[in-house]
Amino acid sequence: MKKRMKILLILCLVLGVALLGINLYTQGSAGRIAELQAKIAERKQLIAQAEMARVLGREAVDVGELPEVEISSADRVVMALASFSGAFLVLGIDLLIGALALIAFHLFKRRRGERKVRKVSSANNIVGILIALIVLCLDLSIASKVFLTQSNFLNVLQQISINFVIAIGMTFVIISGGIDLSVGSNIALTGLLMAIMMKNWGVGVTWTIVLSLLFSAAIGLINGSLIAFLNLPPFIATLGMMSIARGAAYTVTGGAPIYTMPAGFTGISGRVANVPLYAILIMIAVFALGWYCLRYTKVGRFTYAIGGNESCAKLSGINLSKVKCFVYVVSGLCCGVAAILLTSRLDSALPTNADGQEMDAIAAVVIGGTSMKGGEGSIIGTLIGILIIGVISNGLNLLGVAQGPQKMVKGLIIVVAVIIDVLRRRAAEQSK
Amino acid sequence: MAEFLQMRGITKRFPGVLALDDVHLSVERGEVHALLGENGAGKSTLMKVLSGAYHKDAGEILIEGKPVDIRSSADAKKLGISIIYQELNLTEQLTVAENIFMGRPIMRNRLMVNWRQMAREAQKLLDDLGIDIGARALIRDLGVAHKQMVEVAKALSIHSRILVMDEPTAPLTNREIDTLFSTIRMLKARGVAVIYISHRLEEVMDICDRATIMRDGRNVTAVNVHEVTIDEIIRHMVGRELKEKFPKIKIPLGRELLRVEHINAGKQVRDISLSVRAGEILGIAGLVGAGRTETARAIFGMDRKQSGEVFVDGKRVSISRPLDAIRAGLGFATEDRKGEGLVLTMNVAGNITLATLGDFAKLGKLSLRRERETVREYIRRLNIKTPSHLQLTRNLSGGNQQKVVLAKWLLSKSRVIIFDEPTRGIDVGAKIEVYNIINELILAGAAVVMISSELPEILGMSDRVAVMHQGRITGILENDGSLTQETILYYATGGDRRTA
Ligand SMILES: Nc1ncnc2c1ncn2[C@@H]1O[C@H](COP(=O)(O)OP(=O)(O)OP(=O)(O)O)[C@@H](O)[C@H]1O
Ligand SMILES: [Mg+2]
Repeated sequence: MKKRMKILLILCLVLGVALLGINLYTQGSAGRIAELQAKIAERKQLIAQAEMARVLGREAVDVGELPEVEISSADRVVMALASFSGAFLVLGIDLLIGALALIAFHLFKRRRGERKVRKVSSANNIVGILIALIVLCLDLSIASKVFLTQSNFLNVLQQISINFVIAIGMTFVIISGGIDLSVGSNIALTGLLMAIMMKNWGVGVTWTIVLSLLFSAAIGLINGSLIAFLNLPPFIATLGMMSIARGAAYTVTGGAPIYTMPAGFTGISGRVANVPLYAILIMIAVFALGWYCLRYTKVGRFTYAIGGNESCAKLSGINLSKVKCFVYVVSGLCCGVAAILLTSRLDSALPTNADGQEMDAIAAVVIGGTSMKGGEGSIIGTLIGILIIGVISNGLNLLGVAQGPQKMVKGLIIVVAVIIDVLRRRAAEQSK
Repeated sequence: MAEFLQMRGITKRFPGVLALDDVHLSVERGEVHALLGENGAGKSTLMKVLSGAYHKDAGEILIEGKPVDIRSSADAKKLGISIIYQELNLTEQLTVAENIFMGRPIMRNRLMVNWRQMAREAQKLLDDLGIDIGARALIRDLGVAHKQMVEVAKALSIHSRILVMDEPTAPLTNREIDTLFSTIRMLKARGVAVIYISHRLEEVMDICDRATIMRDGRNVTAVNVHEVTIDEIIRHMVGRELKEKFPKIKIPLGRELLRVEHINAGKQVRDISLSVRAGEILGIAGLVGAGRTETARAIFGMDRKQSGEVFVDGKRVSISRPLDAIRAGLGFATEDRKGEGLVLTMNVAGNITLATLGDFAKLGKLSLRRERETVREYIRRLNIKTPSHLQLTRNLSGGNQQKVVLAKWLLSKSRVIIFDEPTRGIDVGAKIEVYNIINELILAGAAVVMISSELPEILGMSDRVAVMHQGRITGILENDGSLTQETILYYATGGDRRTA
């Protein structure tokens, strides 16, 4: 084992045990601390009362009679630690799991090194993020009693459904070496279009769905054409589209939201026996289609090829423009599906809907191990990425973290995921 | 006395591959030491361990008898080790001078780079090497051979004690090789230890003093080059005797499958007309920069043609992109495997079937099983060394990557295949396999155009030879046994230039 690995392992073990120890100790002295805290609180209250009485000029309360609360400095430390006790527990467990994983990995590698590995693939990356997901779930189930309940599970599923659908489309785009920043605006505009069709024009639910899917796909096609035929950088083309579509969304209704959709439509996000059945079925269908398409179709293979090396793809007779248009149309279509889910769940369409959705989708894809450089990645990875993001949002909600810090945490996670991606690539080039 | 550089017991393992197994290498000062072995023997890996690109799993490296710890390329540089990698490592958007002085620019003062002096010094290096390019040219505008010479200049610009060259001559023709060799001799006289990797054994006999031979990640033997013959070296490398080097077959020629007339494209392709018939191998010879690759690219639709016509099987076809060429029945195995030949992030199977993926789809669904079977067959036929058909191509050795490029076009069933430097980086044993496969192609009625910088290969395999000079065809010669290298060189240097 390498020296650096050993140090890391020992560090993990020591820190993990220490943190768990602190947690146990603070739990053990929980009774005493509670007593102390109660005393402090009582004294504080009395002081406040005395102050109040003085201000109001009433009869004074004699504070002097109350004994000073004696807090030793050791107790002070314990009390400070106690407020972080939950975090310590979680972190300690994580570190121990990490250490065990390191040992297991090392043993596994030593055994494997002697035999010949038959399959060399990207499976390793996926195992890594899968472990991260499991650890995350473990943490949250310790930190919050609600997390592991069935109703919370169903909530998470419903919450991630929008990002799920979009991230699948985004996976295609990023593997092909591009990026689609217009997804959020596309959803908002398509959502409004659906609402207008059903409420103002009286179009039936089925036709509304068909037409708006066509519409969102057309937005994708415009993106793709700008990129494929005019050679615009994907970032610029979709950035422009992001602004245009959002602007159009504000324009069509003058910024006003549209409420209450027909029952047949809201039923899509409704629950059957308390389960968001249709949303789940739609997610499964999108996932299966995406997975199948990347693995078993020509255009899926070509998506990898143009992302990996465009000149080679061209020289091999691949029609670059067609493939590029295809991936942006896929992304657009996914936006259409997401718009259906979102509009039916909110029972309303707002021009501000899905604002910043592109960030969550890109984050899920990158966390899932898809390279921003293109050419590498998988739908399964994205699935785990989506779950990680979804579980984190859910966890932060359960722990009562405000929206502001939530956004910061998510940003941090993206940065960390990319750093890990870069480091992993560098390590892969250096040695095993 | 201890040797200047010693590598002892070096072991390196990749997932599924034991690339180096207890390998030894020792090199003296002022020695040119050849490192030989088949594709995938572990030569490049050994050198990457020396240059700090890879970490060794076991073993030690000593310089002047003292153990040294090389953990990064910065460490290697400090020890005076510089290396020309097998694959080009230049930044395409920058100029030649910037690439040569990458990471250690010449400064005017603390803050400002002295661009003028940098360009001047770079130009001097290039001129000394006899390379006809400007220091301010952009790398992306250069051909592969010129890029390679820039790599050489870059390595020489560092005053190193140990210089490693991993197949420096693969894309070069004799003239550049000669200047390179005189440079090597000069370095040798200065006491630099040179490690030289090549599959062109004639060169090794010419320039090297000793040779270490490897097979399957192990040492086979070390020999004094002057005391052995090429055949003996081959026997050590391959483990068996190779009879014929060029298994040329002559078959009756069929219809004319490809004819191009008066093609012009840029400066490098001037009024090119040529034709190939079924069952024929047309060699295209010429010096670096003669426009051979550019001609092929223009025919294939990679570059724009200003004028000219292409006929396939007698019918005029309009080719404006590679897809049109492939549809018309052409194939083009490029010389630039990293830049255009391979998708390095895809696996072996994906690369081999990339141009013919339609054949593996039924009702839109790819049959991965059929793909796997076909790919495995080609891995076996070309003897591609890889742990599995799912290995990423970036993890293959250079020669094995080249075989993947070939396999892709062999699979295409094109009626006319243009091979640009088909055996570049391929070992002596495997070369014969490649020639045999080209033979199979023409037996099956295909026509082959073979661009090559190796004159023995041109003479050994082609039926006719078109020689190019400065973008024009200066001669089309019948290879009837009396054709010599000298004749080809005469035309390649512009011998029969009608214009003044
Ligand atoms: N990064 C890597 N990951 C996995 N396997 C590798 C890696 N680099 C090299 N290998 C394997 O190690 C073996 C030795 O490769 P190496 O590049 O050293 O061969 P070589 O002797 O230079 O061959 P060539 O003549 O084709 O250049 C090969 O089987 C190759 O597939
Ligand atoms: Mg090599």
